[in-house]
Amino acid sequence: MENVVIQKNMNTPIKKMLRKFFNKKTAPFFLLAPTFLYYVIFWMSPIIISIKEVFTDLDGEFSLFGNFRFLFSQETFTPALINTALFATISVLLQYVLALGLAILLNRRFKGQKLLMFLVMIPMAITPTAVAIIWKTGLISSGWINSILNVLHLNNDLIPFLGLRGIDAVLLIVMIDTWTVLPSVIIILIAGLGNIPKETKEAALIFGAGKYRVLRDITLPQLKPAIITSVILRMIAAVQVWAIVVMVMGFTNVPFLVERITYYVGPVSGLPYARKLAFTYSFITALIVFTATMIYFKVTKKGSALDGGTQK
Amino acid sequence: MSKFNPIEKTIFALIMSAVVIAVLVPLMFFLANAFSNGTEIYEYPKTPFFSLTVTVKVDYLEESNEYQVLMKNKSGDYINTINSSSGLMLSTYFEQYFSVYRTGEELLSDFEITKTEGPQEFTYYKNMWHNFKMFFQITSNADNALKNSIVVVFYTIIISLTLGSMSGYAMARYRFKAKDQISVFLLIVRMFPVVGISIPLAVILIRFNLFDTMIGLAILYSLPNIALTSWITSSIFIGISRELEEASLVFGANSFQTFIKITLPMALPALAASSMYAFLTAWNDTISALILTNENPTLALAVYQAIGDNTTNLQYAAAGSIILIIPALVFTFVVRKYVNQMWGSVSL
Amino acid sequence: MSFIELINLDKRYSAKGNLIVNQMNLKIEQGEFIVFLGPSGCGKTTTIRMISGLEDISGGDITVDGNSIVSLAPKDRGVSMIFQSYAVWPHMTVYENIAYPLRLKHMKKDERDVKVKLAAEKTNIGDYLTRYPSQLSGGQRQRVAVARAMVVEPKIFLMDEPLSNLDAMLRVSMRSELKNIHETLNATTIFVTHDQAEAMSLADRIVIMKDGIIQQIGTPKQVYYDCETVFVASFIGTPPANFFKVHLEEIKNQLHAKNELVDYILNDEERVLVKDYLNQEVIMGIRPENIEINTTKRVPEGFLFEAKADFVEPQGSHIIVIINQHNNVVKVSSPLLDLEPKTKIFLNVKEHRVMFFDPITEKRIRKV
Repeated sequence: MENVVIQKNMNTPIKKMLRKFFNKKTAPFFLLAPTFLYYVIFWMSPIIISIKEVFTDLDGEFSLFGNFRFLFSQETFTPALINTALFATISVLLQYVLALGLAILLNRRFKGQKLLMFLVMIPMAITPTAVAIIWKTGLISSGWINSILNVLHLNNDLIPFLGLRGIDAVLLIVMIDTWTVLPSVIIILIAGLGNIPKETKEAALIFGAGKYRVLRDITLPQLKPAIITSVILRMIAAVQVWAIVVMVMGFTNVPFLVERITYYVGPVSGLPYARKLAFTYSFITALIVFTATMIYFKVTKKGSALDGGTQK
Repeated sequence: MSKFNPIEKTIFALIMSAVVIAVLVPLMFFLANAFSNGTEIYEYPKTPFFSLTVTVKVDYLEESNEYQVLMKNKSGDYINTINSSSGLMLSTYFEQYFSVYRTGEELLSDFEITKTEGPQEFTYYKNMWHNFKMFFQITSNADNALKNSIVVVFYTIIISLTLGSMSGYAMARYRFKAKDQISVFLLIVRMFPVVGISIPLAVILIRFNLFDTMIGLAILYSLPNIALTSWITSSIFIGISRELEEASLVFGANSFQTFIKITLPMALPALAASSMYAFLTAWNDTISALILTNENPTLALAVYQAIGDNTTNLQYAAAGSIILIIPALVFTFVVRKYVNQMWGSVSL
Repeated sequence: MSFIELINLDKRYSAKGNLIVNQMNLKIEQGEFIVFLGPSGCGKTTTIRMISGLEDISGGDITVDGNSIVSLAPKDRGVSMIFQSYAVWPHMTVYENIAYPLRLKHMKKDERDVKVKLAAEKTNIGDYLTRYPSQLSGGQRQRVAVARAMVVEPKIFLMDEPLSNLDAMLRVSMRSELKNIHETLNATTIFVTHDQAEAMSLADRIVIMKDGIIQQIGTPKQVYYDCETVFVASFIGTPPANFFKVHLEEIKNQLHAKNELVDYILNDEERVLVKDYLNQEVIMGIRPENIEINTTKRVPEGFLFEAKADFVEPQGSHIIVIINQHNNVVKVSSPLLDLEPKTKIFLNVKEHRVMFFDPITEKRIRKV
């Protein structure tokens, strides 16, 4: 009796055919195809539709500036633009100054550091709608902000926060936004600080720099890249603020870009031109954000880790 | 190396306390509001602590055969609330304005004693769940909204993780022509403002019959998340040495088995991080839900609609927000801790 | 009074933690090139950081010119340092990196410029002054670190494994450059390394450390030929010394050192040396180049053992013979270039060059 070794036939015709399709060269395309398809259908076509809408008037005729002219003539447009710009600038400035100071303080090890970090991160984890409610309960005339002021004898009147308009209102929104967002900025800056090699600071100490000199000449310059990229990201987010505005101030009282969008798809969506206005606003906002994003790319040339070409 | 003199130490302590206070005070007041009953919500000044009980002084008015109920507020004063002899009216009032659940008969028998002994104080426990109940009542569809939120989160995570990790793997492991362009494209999509897409997407969803569905919403939420997942997973796949996979192949596994048994388990932290972001996007968003749904809102949208821009009965909206907040908090902290444990800090 | 003195120096990281540096005592003269040598974790980097002021001390004192410096900040100690990672500042050009220490001393621009250019020239990076560190190779960055440390003309030069990250050829050429700079500046240099060849070629004196304790302080010759402990003998030298744990017995009026492998007869001098260890165990340490191979006959004087040459590794000018017998691995360095493996050989100790160590303390047994 012969011992016959039975070997699985690895090269059946079906397997051969499959291998023709699924090999090293084609595999990436198969893996990427679903994503690609997805984005074509659900990302590109909406953009195309949006562009079409923005450049046609109510009768469907092509109109390059018609919708824009209409938009600019709305009396809430200019305030919306100004408020959004003011808000983005002021909030980013304020947040970075505060966050930088706090990040430097929090960066050393001390008792209860973990607990403190946990606490500081809570506002960041709360849904924006909920944040709006938290502050609304404080901002109403009988709310807790006035209560605190009263109890501390700082003010005996009831400040009508919800009635604030103009720049005061913008500042109020800045304050609420800072409360929410500061933790995430602090965390980004702390991560950046952690990436600075300890020895660069020690070298400076050896050669004669005092603590504050080290901060100014060595730490902060090395932190600059992290600061710049996160500033741009924050501005992009700040331009899109709306929920807090609407829930605290109501519609139209303090216009913001995205607040207007919500307005036109929400309460007044029935009006004939509401749709056009919503589209045009979206277009402009998207354009602004997109420009900022492009600037961000220029600034961080080494952005993504997607170039697998440096595999060892 | 870092010696701090006492002055610096005190400044440090002061600043830290200020930060802690700034974070905790609004939260405490908020919680107090969420558990306030219908009368406490209008009190002024507010306190950051919520009480578990309500104290009333009841007086029997002989002329009208009614019980006069006076509520004791925080400063100890008595406020006129309701005069009634009807058990039903009293019970309804107690429930609505005091968050106290007690039947009419029970109240009447409690107050019986004031007929003979004069005015008496009664202390009742508030029902802490009252505001939550009311939230679900006054917000149409709130329980559906909760279900919807869970569903849409589920869909978003599945879509984002599947498509995202496939793309991430392709970008990490293979070399091919359009790679750079694709990675730039993914970055753009990741940062593109969703507002620009939501409105026209509604048109497309209508065409596919997906308007006002959770899948439709999930499709929108997944747009930036697929790109984000792709980025996260590709950097971890690059980290997983190719040789680990090659070893598996040499020892007899095929590509698919290798992927399931070797690559995927090592990529778990990346998947966890990606699902965290997918969750937060889907759970927290309000504006896209506003645009893309009609009768089927998500919880965030429902809470928003419950309040809109008015200021009455904030305590119900506050209670609803708590339901919104808790999963988000849990996810943010628990998943983040897990990710950090397995993977070191994720700097995204 | 020496220039730098470490007195009973201790270091621990937590109140009840282990002593990373344990009662270190060292006197360094001005102009010396001292090398701290030892394996990772022996405390050499910690010690140099304590001298620099980047770490606090837990006990003892450090003095310079008789004055204690432990309460001074790093910048007030008159030291200059080169770090293992170079620590050049990435956001400054090479010129600015070198100039920074001088700016901190408020030196005027013209004077600064002269010194910077001089330092850059001495380290051969004069052409790169306007570049940023990210545009330089590792070796060039290291030179920037050296130039920067030189430019303040320090009295004390601290170098923490500055060559460890360089490739082998660069390391050797930089070694001599560093020594050169030390001599030009007439500085006192403390150099930390784990590479014994580096220590041997650079040092005036070597301080060998293990687990926070000094094993031996000596010139290269001393630490090579006159080892104070088993550890020193095993750490210095490539290949390291061979060790035999032997029992001392008197047989027919001769003192034998025996174990399963060797049977060595001690001469008169050696007998006097180990007289306290009769009938006990000692450790013999013999360097590979001090063992002679005889392929034909057994020479009685200094005979060690006979064996088969298990492996022969040609090294060019000599061979290394490896014998693996009775669980002992013995390495011998020999000029017999044609020796074949598996040949039977007789091994003798040259000129009784044996070091004896106490089996428990592992310290060298010396003449009383």
